[in-house]
Amino acid sequence: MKVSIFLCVLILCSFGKAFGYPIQDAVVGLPNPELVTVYPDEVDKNLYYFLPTTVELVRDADGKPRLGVQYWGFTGADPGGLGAALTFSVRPAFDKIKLQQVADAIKAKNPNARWAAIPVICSRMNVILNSQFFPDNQTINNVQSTPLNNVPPAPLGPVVTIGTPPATPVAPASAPEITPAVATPAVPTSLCTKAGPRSNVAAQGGSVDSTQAFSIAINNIGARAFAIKSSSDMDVLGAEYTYVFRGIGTRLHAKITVRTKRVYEHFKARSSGNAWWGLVKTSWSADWQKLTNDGSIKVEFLQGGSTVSEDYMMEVFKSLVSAKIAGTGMFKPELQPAGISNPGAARMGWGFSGGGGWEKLDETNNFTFEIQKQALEEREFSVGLTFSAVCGKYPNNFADLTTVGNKCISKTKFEQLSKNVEQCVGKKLAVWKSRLDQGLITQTTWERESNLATTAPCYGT
Amino acid sequence: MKALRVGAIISFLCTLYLYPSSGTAAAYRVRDADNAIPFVLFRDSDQPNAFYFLPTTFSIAASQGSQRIGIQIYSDPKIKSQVTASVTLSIAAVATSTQLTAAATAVRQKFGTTEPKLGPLSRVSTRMSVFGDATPITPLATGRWMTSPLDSSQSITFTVSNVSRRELLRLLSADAGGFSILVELQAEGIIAGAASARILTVQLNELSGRRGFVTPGPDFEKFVDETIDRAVEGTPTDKSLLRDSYSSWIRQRLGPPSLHRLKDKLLYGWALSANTFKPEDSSLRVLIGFPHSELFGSVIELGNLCRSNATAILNVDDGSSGCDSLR
Repeated sequence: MKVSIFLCVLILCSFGKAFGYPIQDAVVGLPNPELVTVYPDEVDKNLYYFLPTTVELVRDADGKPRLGVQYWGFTGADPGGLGAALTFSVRPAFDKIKLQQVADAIKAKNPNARWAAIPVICSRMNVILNSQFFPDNQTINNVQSTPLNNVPPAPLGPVVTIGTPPATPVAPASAPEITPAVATPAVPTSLCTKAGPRSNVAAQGGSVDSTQAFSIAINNIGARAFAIKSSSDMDVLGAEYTYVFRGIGTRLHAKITVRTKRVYEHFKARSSGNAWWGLVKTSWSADWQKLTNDGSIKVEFLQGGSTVSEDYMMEVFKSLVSAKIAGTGMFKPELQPAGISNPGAARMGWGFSGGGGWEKLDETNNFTFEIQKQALEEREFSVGLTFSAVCGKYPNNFADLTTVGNKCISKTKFEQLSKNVEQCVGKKLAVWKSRLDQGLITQTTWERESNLATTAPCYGT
Repeated sequence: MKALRVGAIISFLCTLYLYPSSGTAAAYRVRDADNAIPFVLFRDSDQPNAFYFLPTTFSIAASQGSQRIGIQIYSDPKIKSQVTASVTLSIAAVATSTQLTAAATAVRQKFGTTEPKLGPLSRVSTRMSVFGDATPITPLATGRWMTSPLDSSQSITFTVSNVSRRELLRLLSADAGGFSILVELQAEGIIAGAASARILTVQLNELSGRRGFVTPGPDFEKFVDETIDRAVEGTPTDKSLLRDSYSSWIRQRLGPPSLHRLKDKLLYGWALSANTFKPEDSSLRVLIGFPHSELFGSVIELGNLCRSNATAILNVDDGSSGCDSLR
């Protein structure tokens, strides 16, 4: 039996050691700071976490990017018409130089310091590519996440989500929650459980060193933007990495004093006749604002402080609801209006009826309690970067499928090609315009044929 | 049974060991009266030597020696006179080593902490919007609010469709008033002060009307300094608490800052008038520790891109680089 107790203790302790969490508000600070976000671990004081802060093209051992563009129909007639295919791989990345500087500074203070990437519990990688660069029939998901102010955003440049996100879970599947001394631990609804096209984060899993490959069909304009050998510094493609991790939220220890008479007065003023007062979550926010502003509810911060108003508000709300149900605190039976007929009170335990019993309450009859809590929180971060993934920069990653052996579309050749195409399209349009002007075709036919003339391959002079 | 009880107690003690009190806390804004610190500064409410800085200047991100921006220009085959420009770019916060050293020095001097710990602020949300030079000021594109580390880069892509070549050339080559990116930052903290006071709204409105405009950050702090002596009556035990409380109160009354154009320059802040504050705004009561968020803004004027980023511009109609094809 002793052995089993020992094993139990050993397992529990070592389990906890293995699953420490980053402290989300305790960014590691330095006497000579750098703009680098590093979180300490809650349990292991020698462990520090770093975060992905950007995205990069994956490269092979020779430094060559994992990027390939095959295009056709631009340097001659091609049975496939005009188009291109773009394939590339990206991954989350860090500013290694800055991170090393911070690591050195921390090592100087703490020789036992160790480093780990933040444990990602879910993630998503999106491509950033202008909407006019890919065919109409391609699957496109615009960024539609609701902003903080709940106002739908104006259209952002479309973001293509293709392929499946990395799926290498590195975080514990069932994370132990903190057990505070007084209050209930609160882990909010996971950011990772949302599903569908409006999901903030689409897939479980992911890690900060996973690569993600994409393959995208590109249209005429997009192909030219990538393949013409000019403007080698031009960005035309990007990626956005969104990841969620779990960490220790802010510690909150506060003393709440509810000034009973004032709170009664507040709700009495809001009530009419036999209406029941307050304690409905949806309307509590406005009441909370007023009651805390005028001092009817006083919050004293003994330690820490949450940046989320609801952390206090809902604790007080829950306490008042509990007190009302249990008939404790300010809802003790002796506080009920004595001798006053109160049908509401008979049903629910308490209510206003226009009686005067509550007037007996005075300022000294307060309801005081403490909140002490610390919870696990999830945080979602998004980082992105655009790349100069064009032929002027990486000619060896491009292939002309029409003129085999050719890499980029040279400016000279493209100029000549453009002139030919323009003349060809111009002739076609002139023919159809003439027919329209003569009344031989309808406006609808003209629009259809002119659209076809400008989009279909046209090489003749 | 007894062994189980002992096991349960030890497990409980073990749990306490696993999750010791960390003392992590929220941060509150600290004042920088002489603007010696080139960032907005927050101080940890539990660890007095821990400070968090918030850079409020952003620029186009750079990597591999070049700025991360690209512009592709193309025309409608049927209306050759009109062109479309597709712009793709990335941005990042600016915090130079000179600025960071200055911040560390100023914190040591101002707060008497021999070894302050400075790190970037943790709870910050950002949103990017793109503007041309049109009036009224409406965004060409607006991103979503997102949280990200302050040391991260962010990207946006947008399109300016069917404008004349001349108009596009003007937007791309204007030294001021062309394309601008607004980066809004929402920093979450707590209120540092606790005070009650009477506000003299007549005086406050008079001072507001004279000022006309105020931007978040040092300019706002100056406005608070200008008005607190003449427009606020309070008897706090600690005057700095009254100032902090007043600062929070006035922000609440002004609401979120927004973008304005003054003398061809985009400014993010609040337009003030002699009617900004209402007579009912006659008292303030602010409590220490309450959650509090502040909005800051950084306007990146892209300037003359034809000159500064010619190799990042491509006309996909003729394969030419730069803006010559628009002239």
